[in-house]
Amino acid sequence: MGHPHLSTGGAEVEATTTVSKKELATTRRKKGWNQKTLAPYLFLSPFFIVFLIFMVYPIIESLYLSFTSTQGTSSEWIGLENFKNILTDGLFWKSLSNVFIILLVQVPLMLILGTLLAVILNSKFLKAKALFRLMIFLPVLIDLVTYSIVFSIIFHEQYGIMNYLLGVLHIDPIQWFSDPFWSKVLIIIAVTWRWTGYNTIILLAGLSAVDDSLYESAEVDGASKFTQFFKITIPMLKPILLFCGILSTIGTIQLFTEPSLLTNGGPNNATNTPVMYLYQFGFQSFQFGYASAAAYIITIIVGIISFFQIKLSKGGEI
Amino acid sequence: MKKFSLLLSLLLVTSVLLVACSGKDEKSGATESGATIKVAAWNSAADALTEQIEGFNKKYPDIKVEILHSDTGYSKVTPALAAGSGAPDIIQTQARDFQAFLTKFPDQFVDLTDKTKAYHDQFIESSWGAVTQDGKVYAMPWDIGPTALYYRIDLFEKAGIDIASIKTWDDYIEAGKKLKEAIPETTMTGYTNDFNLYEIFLNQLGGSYVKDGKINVNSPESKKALLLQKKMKDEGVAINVKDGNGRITANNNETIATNILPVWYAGTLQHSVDKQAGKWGIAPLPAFEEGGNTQANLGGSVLAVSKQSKHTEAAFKFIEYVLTTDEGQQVMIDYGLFPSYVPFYENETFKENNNYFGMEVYPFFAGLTENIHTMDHGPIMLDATKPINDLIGAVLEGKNVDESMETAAKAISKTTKLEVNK
Repeated sequence: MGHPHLSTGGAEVEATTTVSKKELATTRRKKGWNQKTLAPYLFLSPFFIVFLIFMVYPIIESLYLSFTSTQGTSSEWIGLENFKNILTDGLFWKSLSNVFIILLVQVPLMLILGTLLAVILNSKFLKAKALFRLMIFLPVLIDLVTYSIVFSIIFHEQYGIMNYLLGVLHIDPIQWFSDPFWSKVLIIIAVTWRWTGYNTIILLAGLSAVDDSLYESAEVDGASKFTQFFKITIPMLKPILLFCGILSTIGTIQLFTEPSLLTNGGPNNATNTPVMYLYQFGFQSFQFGYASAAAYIITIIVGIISFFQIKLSKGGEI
Repeated sequence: MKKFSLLLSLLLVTSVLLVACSGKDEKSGATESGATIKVAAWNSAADALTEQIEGFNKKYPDIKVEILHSDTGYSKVTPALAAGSGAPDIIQTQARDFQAFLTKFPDQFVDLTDKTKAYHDQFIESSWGAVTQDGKVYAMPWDIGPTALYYRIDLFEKAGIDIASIKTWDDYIEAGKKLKEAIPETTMTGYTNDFNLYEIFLNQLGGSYVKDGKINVNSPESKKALLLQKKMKDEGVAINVKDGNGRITANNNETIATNILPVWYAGTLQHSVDKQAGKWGIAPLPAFEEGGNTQANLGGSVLAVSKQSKHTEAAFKFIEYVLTTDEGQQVMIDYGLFPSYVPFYENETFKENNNYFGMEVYPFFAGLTENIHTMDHGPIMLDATKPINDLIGAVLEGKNVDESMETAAKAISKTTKLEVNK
């Protein structure tokens, strides 16, 4: 399913006959739907059909599932019990607090880094810009699973190069995987490495839209580079920063691959995340109803946070 | 041009619809004589089954067999079971998970009671429990995992430890301290981030996850099992090696000197720790108290036939061939899959001397199957995995054992709707 084969013989025949019928129909109703007005919808229709089947239907179906006790093939309507059970489950709140701790440290850190890198890349004095841009963007091109595995090797407690280098600096080896604090730090380092480049490129695009004349007149008025950065660059980037902030927030709340592969949510759930929680119920114990309810709760939380982010920053107005 | 674009878009729409609808016809192609059966299994089990096809086709040239490589998380099988279509004909599950499958996917497995009746006495008695529900058999027991103590003969000698003197787990811990003193960079054993060690201890003690249909992870046996693992960690005789790969590294680097694991680990040592050939010995597990039980089981799988299968007869013939014939079990044993099928224990291949260990490994393990306690996993294991792992994590971290057991029992009760034993 999902891979249209244009060369299907039957499809062609059927298509041509429908076309001739359609043609007849359109000539009859000259003022209504003619080819010109219909064509864009037809062009869009493959997407919408796929979208309906693979997005809208699952969204509605999972809403229904969230009110049932569905596990495997057995199912029963149980009202709000799933929601009640999730909201009273300490593990769910633990996983939520984990991502919020990661979020509060990681997203600001990444956006500051991203902004600084973007400003440097945008500077007139930098040579070989394309090369640096490529280097900063490269981590984004690396598959999530691959980099997680590489990080787990680099940060291996006994044989990893990171603890070896720390040893060279006479720092005791850090328990990246078995200490609740350091395992969170590990996740933050990994996610920051992977996503800073992505945000840098978006911010860079935002910077190139800032009118040079603003800086020129600031220069004439005798404003220092720092003043220019804080009074021109940052305010002009605000909508872009908001955009990056919301995307990163949503991404962090939905964190899955890194904690799943690096720490498997451990030690003792210190890096468990809501999506791992959901996954565990959905695909390890096949409690589809319970997992659907968890998905809706996470979505609502993401929605609320995004709403406040937009409110607080006044929709990114400059 | 306009016509062309209209045509193109219509084509796209119809082809998408056609493809979307065409899923149903796929299966009708195979007829009775030329049946194709699909088998979902994982890792070395799947490899073993793949090797079986040749021998099977000599007997049944008309039945084509396809092996689908699945994973231990069942992520490729369960969507098909839940959807009611697209499931393979034969499905491998862990023995301990099968009851949960029967509960979560009722009416998805073929009743094999009559077909398996003739084999009842030929399999290890305790292996039928996992595949039976309300007196009906829904799967065939495949392999079992009698457990032993793998130890480094050379390191024990160096530290002056006599394996024969280790009768109880307390002796084992004392020996571990002695080892640490003699060879500081080596620890007695390692544990992984799962509940393997806990389950071995629990089974050895005769405990169970479910008793009389009620959740039993808060039992006295469970507490004893948890406290032993904690004691091993606290006394510095057991370190965390994270997972199976970490354990292999630890063995290769001589970070650990013993492994408390089932028969299948003999194969792993031979393949992945091949440089240490001749240095490993195998002994029965230490007991909890002198003269106590030294046998336990960990792991083992079953093969079930899906109700979605159009060729249940052919599917069962395949299961019959691979599990109840000497030819079939001969292939299995090459992959370290220890049979629950007892007649094979008399086979010459089974009795062969193993060069790596310098002993007859399989007959030794066969001797460790006689007193294995039947263990009731109940239908909870798919739901219980996470709570049990959390329970062990909490206890090892120093949390109160009784409270942690209650938390785990409640968490399992919430999703399985089973009561907790008081």
